[in-house]
Amino acid sequence: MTDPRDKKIEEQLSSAVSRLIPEDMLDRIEQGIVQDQERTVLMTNQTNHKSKILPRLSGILVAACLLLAVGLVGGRYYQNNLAVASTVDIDVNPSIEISANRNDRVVKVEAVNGDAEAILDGMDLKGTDLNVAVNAVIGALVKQGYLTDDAREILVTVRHEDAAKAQILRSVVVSDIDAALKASGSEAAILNQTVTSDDSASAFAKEQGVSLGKAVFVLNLAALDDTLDPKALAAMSLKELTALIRERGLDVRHILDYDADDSLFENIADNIEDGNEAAKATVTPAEAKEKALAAADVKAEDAAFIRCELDEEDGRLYYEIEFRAKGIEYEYEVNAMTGAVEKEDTDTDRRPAADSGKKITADEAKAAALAHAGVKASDTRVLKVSLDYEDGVAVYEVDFIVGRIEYEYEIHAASGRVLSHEKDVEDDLPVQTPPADTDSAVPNPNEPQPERLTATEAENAALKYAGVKRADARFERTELDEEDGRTVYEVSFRAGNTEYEYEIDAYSGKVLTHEKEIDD
Amino acid sequence: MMIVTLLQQTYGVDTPSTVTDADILDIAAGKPDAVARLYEKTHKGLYGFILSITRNPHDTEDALQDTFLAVCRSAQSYRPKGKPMAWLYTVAKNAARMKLRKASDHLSFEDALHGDEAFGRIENLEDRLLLETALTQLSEEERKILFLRALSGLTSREIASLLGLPLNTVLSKYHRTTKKLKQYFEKEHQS
Repeated sequence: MTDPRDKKIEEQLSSAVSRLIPEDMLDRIEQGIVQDQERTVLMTNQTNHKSKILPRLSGILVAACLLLAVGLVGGRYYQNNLAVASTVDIDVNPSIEISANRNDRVVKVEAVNGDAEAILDGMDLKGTDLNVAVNAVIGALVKQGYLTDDAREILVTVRHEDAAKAQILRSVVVSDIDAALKASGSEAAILNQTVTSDDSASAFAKEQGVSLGKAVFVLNLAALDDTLDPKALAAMSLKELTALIRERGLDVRHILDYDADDSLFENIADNIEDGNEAAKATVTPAEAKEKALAAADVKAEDAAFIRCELDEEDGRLYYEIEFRAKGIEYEYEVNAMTGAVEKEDTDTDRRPAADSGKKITADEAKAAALAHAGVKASDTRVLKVSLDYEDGVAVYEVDFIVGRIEYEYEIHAASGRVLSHEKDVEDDLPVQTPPADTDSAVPNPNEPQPERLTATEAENAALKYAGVKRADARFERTELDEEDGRTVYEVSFRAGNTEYEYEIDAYSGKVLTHEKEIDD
Repeated sequence: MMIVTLLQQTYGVDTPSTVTDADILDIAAGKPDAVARLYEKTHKGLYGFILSITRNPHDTEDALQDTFLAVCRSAQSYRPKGKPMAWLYTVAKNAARMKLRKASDHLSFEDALHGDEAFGRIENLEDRLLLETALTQLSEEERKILFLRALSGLTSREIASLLGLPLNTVLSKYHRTTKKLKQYFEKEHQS
């Protein structure tokens, strides 16, 4: 972060990207916006729009009216513009059906139940772009208190005569809703499906006063579990339905789609998976959290949970728990069958249970580093003082720059002792000389330098740690490097779908950092 | 947070002009130049972010346009929460993803890289090489982190929350990514 060469990379990248952006980009964007607004104004026929573009529009409006007249006579207009080509059902508890023509213009918006009438109250969305209507409906739902904390599921059903087009429309609509929800500050989960028209489902929908989308969904649900009564399901809100799915452990993945790649929303897939796994887990999430807190020696009121997810790996069922307390992030894995806190496999700088000792302050750590470097505070540009945990030891990392020299210190937080220090002279040219030949690494003269490991030995140390056989590993990189004054091997390899990255002390063979990432 | 505060204290505010809720509300109110102002503040970061996903200038331009369109459409229902940047980047991410989903017919990445006149606009060969290397040699995640750090003015913490990654991961990945690029160039220099 403080490496001047990093700065240079950023600057070069910045300059390259600046060149890449076309000069007329803003013009194009503004033109696009004006066209979009013209369309909206035109289609909604709202004369109360006071936008500047109205005068220019009147001509187009006249033309449009003419077209309308001609079209109505021609009959073709009906086919192209009033025929319903697609329907988007939005179900929370209010059920709303939006029908659109081939050009994605709204033909009809229907409130399927009483709640929906309140949502649509006074809105005239006929003739608008489908996405405008979807946006408006979502906006109204949020405004009226739906999709808030306790009811965060929304079912979106897209129907289109052409299955491929239905898929495209579905992704467009879901993405629009995603943006609209985000804009409204809601973090609702979007459940979505595409369906083809089905007479029995239509009849059921009409009979139960629900949208066709919800009808298909609950009929499918009832088919999964014959103790469920579709009529009872139809009467339930989405929130109640998701709770039921979770409770019964129903695998709804083949009747529902979801954006699996969107980490920003509570993902329904996770919900379902959690639901399935929860059936097997004997430890509740609350108990698992307690275990993790106890292991971290953190009080519940101090902890802000970031994640508590049930996960399964090689038949091992565990909770992945992440929380933050007093500025420190913790990651734990708690066995969901036994409640045992299991070792976490990432290189999270976790605070150990035993560490509750006194620490020096950040200012004191800074002072210790400055004193060691023999530099006055006034001469420095302090970039960073941060508290970190390395191998369970609380360490302040202090980085600063004096003139053209960059210093990096690690200060033992309990004692204020300097654990490691490094200085780097700013040099814009790529440095090829190994750090040992420069003044960047200051070896401890009191420590005799033992024999350095070979690359193969370093790899073996990593393999041993990972529990991976050499034959199963594909090595991507094994390099000697200088890190915080230490000579380390950076070793990375893949085994199966897992990528491992290690830093191995080049002299002791000790594993300094380890990280593994599973591709999905 | 501490990092940010320290930076600002010692350097003065050096981050690109930040976007505020007011910028979005101005757009919702249809104030003249509101779009242009937002564009000035954000286009480079957004362009870079989208490019890190699409790796293709043509799609990036389209998705950037879609982003601003979506912002204008949704500005009305935008609820000020003091986090407009997070929102903007989420909209941009969706636009980029949509572009990728739809663009089944677009050129292969290599064709785009060599044939695209856009890259020709980068006169400085070293800069161009760096960008091309970043687009070809880095993983999407590495690229996102690097581009956001270099172009967006977002803090590492904001980047972490945008990408749904722990802060530590963002910091270590950034470090490794720049190291990877440096090493790559050192090798190029040698050969």
